Amino acid sequence: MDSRWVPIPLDSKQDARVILHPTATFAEIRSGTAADGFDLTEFVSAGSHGMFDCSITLNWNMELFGDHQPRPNQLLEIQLYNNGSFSTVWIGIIESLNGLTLSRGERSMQLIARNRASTDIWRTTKRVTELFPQMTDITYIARKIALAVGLDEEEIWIPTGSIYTAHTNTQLADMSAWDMLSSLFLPLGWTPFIDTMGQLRAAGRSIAGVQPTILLTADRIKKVTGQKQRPPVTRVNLHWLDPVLKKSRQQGRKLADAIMTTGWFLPFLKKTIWFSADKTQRAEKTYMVIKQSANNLFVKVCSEKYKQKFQNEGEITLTNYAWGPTIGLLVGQWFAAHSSPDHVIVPPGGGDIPVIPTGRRVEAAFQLALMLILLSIGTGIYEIWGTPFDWIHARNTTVAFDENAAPWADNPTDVDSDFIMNEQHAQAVAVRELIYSSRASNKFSIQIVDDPRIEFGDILQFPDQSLMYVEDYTRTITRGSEATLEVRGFLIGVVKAPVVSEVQVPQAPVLDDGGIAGGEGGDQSGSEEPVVDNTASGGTTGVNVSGPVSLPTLPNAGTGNVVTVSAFDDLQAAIDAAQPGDTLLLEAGAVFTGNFTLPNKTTGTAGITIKSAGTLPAENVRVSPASAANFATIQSGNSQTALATDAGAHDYSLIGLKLGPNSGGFGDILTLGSGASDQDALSKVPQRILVDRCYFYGDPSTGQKRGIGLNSGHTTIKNCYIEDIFISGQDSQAIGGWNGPGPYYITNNYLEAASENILFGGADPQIANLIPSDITITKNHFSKKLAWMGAGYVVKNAFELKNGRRCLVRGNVFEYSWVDGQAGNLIVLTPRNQDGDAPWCTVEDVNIEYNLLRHAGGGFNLAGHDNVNPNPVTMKKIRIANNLVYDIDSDDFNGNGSLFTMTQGPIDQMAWDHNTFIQSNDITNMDHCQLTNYKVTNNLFVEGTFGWFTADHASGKDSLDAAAPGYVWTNNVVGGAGSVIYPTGTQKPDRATFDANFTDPENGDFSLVDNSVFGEGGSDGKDIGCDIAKLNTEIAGVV
Amino acid sequence: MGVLTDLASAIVKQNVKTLYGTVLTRPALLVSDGINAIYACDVDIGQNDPTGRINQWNQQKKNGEVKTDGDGNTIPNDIEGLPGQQGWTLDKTLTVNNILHNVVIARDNADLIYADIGCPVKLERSQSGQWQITGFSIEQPGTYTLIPVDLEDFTIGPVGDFSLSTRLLTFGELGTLAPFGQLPFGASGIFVGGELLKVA
Repeated sequence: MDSRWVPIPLDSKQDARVILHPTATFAEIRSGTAADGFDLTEFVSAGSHGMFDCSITLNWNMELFGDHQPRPNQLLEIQLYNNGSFSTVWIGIIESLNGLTLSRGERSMQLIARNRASTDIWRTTKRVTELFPQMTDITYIARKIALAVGLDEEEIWIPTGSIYTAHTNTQLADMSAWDMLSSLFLPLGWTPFIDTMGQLRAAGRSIAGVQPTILLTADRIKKVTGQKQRPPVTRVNLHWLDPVLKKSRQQGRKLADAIMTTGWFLPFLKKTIWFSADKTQRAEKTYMVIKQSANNLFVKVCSEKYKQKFQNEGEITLTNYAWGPTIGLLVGQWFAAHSSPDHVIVPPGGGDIPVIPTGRRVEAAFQLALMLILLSIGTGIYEIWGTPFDWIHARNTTVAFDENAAPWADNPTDVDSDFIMNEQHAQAVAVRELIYSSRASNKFSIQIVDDPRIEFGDILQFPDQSLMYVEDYTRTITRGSEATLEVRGFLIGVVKAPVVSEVQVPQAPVLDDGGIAGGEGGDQSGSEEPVVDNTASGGTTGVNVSGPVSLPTLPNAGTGNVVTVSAFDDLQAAIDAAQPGDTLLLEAGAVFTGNFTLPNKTTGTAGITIKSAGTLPAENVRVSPASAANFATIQSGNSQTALATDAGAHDYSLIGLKLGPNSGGFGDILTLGSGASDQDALSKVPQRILVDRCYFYGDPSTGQKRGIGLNSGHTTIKNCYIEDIFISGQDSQAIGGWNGPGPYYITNNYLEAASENILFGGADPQIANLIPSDITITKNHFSKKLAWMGAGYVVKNAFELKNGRRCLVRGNVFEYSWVDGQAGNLIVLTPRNQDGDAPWCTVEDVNIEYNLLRHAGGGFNLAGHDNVNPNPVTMKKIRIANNLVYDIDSDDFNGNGSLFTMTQGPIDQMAWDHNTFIQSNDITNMDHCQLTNYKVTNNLFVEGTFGWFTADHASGKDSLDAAAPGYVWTNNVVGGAGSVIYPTGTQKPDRATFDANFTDPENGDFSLVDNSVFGEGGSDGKDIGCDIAKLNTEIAGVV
Repeated sequence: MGVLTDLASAIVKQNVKTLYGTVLTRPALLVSDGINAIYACDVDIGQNDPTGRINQWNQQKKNGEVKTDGDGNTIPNDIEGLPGQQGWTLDKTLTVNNILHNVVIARDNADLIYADIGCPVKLERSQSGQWQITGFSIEQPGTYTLIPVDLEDFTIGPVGDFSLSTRLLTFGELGTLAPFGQLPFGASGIFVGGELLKVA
């Protein structure tokens, strides 16, 4: 729905303008800066436009000659009168001018214009993309394609996705740009479209459980003008390439032949052997068979050796036996033979005695040796044998079919996709496509009073509760004609509850009107614009924060046996024996000691539940040490983890358990996934884990390094209580992860840890290109024990993100942090290539809203890049809105007492909006920071010591100008700023006046008094500062 | 190949010239004239036509016979006499219509004669219309999942796994099946959705 518009009133006449733009661009027309417009309106005798095309009949006498005559490839703008003014409703490219006629001095012609995606560069030109590595966000690929066909970043309005390339070196080839986008969007459940303003968008294809976007009342519906039905699709065959390769061995056989000749003239000879003519065949266990040796009967010429070098090649080496030195020796002998004097024997009495000269003997020996040398030339014939193997792709098929269709109605359609990540994803896609395709067969068309809000992908609800999916429309733009709109699409059915099934269709997080993704239920993530809550933010366009696009899928449901496990039973044996769907009911109060593992059950997909018997807190009620007193306890009894997952384990629910510390506080209490090199592929990541109402505790005296090691996927941690997580001289976390892909949902927990209460990153992922994504953290209480102050427990912060994206932090209470291992900030965002081998680590797309932060030595530390292991990635897309931050105090908690420390590197796209910030010292230290697309709107600050500052510049505006060129600053208040210069429009009441606007600041009540000068002073008409009432609602029950 | 051989030539509906398949049974001598020997084996060619399976599912549903295990999945195998029951019947193939039986191995392919079960192979249609195995391939059929969807209320399931696979029988399975004949060590089985379909 295009919210720029309001419905046209009933019985209105259409008032539209047609503007010709010979030279302007789409962006110039959209922004209203195009100066080349020529108004064709008075020549339009009839016209209409739809989503994708426009047809106009022009009549003129002499006016449209020369520069004013429309030509193909010029842009055409249509403006519509709505809500008191004309606004652009459609921009297209003139495709053709037809039917030019001259009649009685008047000329006429028909002008056809199309949506920009109708051009050849989108639809016909075959393209080839670059190679994309594994784990590339496929919306990133889509952006690259869109950029390649001429869109700029501002014209690409698609959110980041949750689907990644699962294969190595993905490349799209021999497809048009549009086909590429369609292929990429399919697994996301989106349809690409270029909207009426020429921008790339995505509409959701998930219509199960979809909610209407526009309600049509009976008086706005003029008539149903047509209905067309085709045999509906009853079956979708989804063919997809399994990302997991399988090793396939053939029978052992001869792989190659070789003939090699060597002799005394070669010290050694090497020959590379390929296992197939095309050099691609892989083999293992290869060996050489000597069919004919290079050595002969008389002399051993050489050694004959073979060694496999790579999967597809080996090498034969023939090394001669020291013939070179021997030749040298013989040459020496030869020389000696010629230089030795003959030996003369003179018998007694004289006479001749036959004499054999010594030199001749030596020479004969040399000649014999030379002959042997010449014999040492040999030819060997070799065979290389081994076991050929290949890595095989399996092409899987997932079929969704209409179970009520008669056999003769079978109407299948085949869908191929190489972007399916796993079977569950395939099932979700197949079902979604079946539902969409079957409904799309029933075309429907209605005529209504014009409503410019309607656009592609909208869901219209009729008075009888039935829903219609909008595919196109036609608007008559003939001036003075009835303001009607003919809408075409298909009927979905009546409003229903979201689909209930074994197939967990990815769902968007449930958010309120400040939502950043789709609505509740179904996969609607593609149907929303990737902008933050503009209503609440007072305009943060350009700071494109979308946040998580999906919540984790919960463990699959199943109804199996309930197995009671008593304190005397073998818990591991019970876990091993459990069948998918079973529930293990652990005896209340029993203690199970050992290092237990959750295996990968390959016999089914239903979940296994492990829970305490007895009374548990109600669902969605946070557990406490008291309410967990009678839970079954799992504890390791040694320094290893108490409970861990095997590679690929899936669908486990841990409910109502008490998990105690390891000996010496080493490691994790609960290990979900592995952060080590054994988890080096997504296929090994445990999936669909639920931890609900569990109590984790460290040893009160020696502590515990980590509560939960979170390196799994699709994991939900809720209603838990984690305390006494600290350890001397090391970092400790209540929840810490670095090698899991997400999504994560961490909600309604008490999290107590010395270093970081929650940390993502901090070690290099073992899975290439892995970035923990889609992290939703809501309604948690982050705290630290004050007794830890000065105890050497490496206190750092409450929440730290070193590698993560699409993160929503909302409705939490953060309190207590002080100078120890770090500067005592509460929230730290800092992309870190921690160990130097993960340059892709990033922090981006983080939305922090409706949180209470208090009692700390600093507020936020935002570092744009890694200054230790520099990487190419810098931080971007950060939104901080409607937070209340107070008692940031350097006296009580040491630290710098500053709200923000931003002293490292660039940050792009950051918005602070509607926050109330109360701190003792500076607002922001921006030294060495470069900010782009920085927006500060509707906030309440206090100046403190230096307010905003950066090196070599005066506080306030001078520092902002230097560190954040082009920043947007509106409707902010800086209490106690005195003579410090801030951008025009900044309110600068003295501190006493500033404080008088709050109800009871001494006791933490920063709601505005009734007559506050900050009331309704925001750029959006709301109160400046945090919406305290909404904040209180969000954090109700957290502490 | 199974004990009972299917001599009818297989018919593949799709008019394709090349298929990728998986060897389900070890190649065995099909015929010999004393000089030349022709070997053949059963091949999984991927389930190109699931209508038989769907129709069977619909019929079972109509008759109230759709069975689900505790996992919510269909029990994909309706063979009489599952382990623990009576009446094993070998070579009962139900409507598994993706198995191409007795596919001959093209001449001069000595390596293929020793192809092990599970190997990916390339099939080509000969001039006479018959399929023959012409070499190994780097692609093969994978999993096969059927999801019934009620398009009225958008409910789904139970999900059926009909993936074909083949492997050597374990000692336990050999022991279980022993009453039905002497199964030598090394006997293999064809499985549908993890359930034994036939001994090969």
